[in-house]
Amino acid sequence: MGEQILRVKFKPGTSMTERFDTVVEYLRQLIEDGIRDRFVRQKAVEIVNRAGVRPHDELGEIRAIVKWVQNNVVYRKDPFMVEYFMTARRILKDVQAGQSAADCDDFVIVAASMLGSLGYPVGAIIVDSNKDGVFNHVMLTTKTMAPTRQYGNKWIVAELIFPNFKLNQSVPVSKVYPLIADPNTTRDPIHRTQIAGGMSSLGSGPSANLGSGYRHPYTRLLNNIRRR
Amino acid sequence: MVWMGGTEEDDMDDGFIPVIDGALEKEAKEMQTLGNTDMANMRTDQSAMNIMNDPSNLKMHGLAGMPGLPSPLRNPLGRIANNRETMMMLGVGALLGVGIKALWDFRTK
Repeated sequence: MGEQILRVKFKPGTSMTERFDTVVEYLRQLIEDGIRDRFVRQKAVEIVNRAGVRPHDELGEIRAIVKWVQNNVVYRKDPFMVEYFMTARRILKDVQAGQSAADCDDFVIVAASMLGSLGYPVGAIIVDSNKDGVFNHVMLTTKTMAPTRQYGNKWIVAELIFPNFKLNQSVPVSKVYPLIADPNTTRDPIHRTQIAGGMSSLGSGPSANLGSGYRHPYTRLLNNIRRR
Repeated sequence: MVWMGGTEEDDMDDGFIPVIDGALEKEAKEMQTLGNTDMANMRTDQSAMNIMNDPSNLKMHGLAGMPGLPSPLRNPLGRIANNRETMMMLGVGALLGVGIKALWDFRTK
């Protein structure tokens, strides 16, 4: 069960606020579930050990995990008009099997889960990667427990889908919306909950038509919130 | 919203199509430049980090009080950091020394 993919579509008429709340909540909860997954922690430990990171080198651990995700998880877009959310375990197993295909939110789920399992505060930040105020992309955010010479106590941001991006490097953005995971959560993992929902189209309007004005689900959901 | 994928190890009905043809892999190796994946001209900056750490943003999202240890002391162990305090201690020591010497001279000479 922990290796499944959550496929999200909404019934027509579902309000934008409801859609946005649902999407960001799944993203946050999948990170929290990954943090509690023993398989994910084992993989994270393996990565930092193989990278030769010394104990207490917090920045080294963050760099090792970020670099591993950048280099090993393969970026592939979700199917048209559908949003997939994978569990961290599923993403790791796909990498092992040579079947990795994940988009930005999945990259964040797996990286945040591994860093969270190693004891770091983690979250996703939704950003407007076109710097136009329209949210359309997700990045990782984390921080070290002890201040570092390079970043102090600041939140560190990582772009995961491009292997050549260093920590805190991003495309120019003008807005961020952070979703910080709660590692102390005691709720049931999301893959064990019964999720009911419609299977119909994402909605009407120009974005529902092939080839005319399609925008990423995040864009549509968050742009509507922004307009309000 | 539905969960995809099965619970069984050998369940192949999870949306993935296995690549059986080894020739495809060979073909992919031969065609190295299929698109614009190098992203050589992508503009980058640190705006995401700067906005994320902006005090108003942290306050708005309730992140201002996230866990963090106090900053480590910059001074090497044993070094006296506070110069003003050091000078005061030296002054008090000098005054005490002069006073004790004066008292000694007064009592013995």
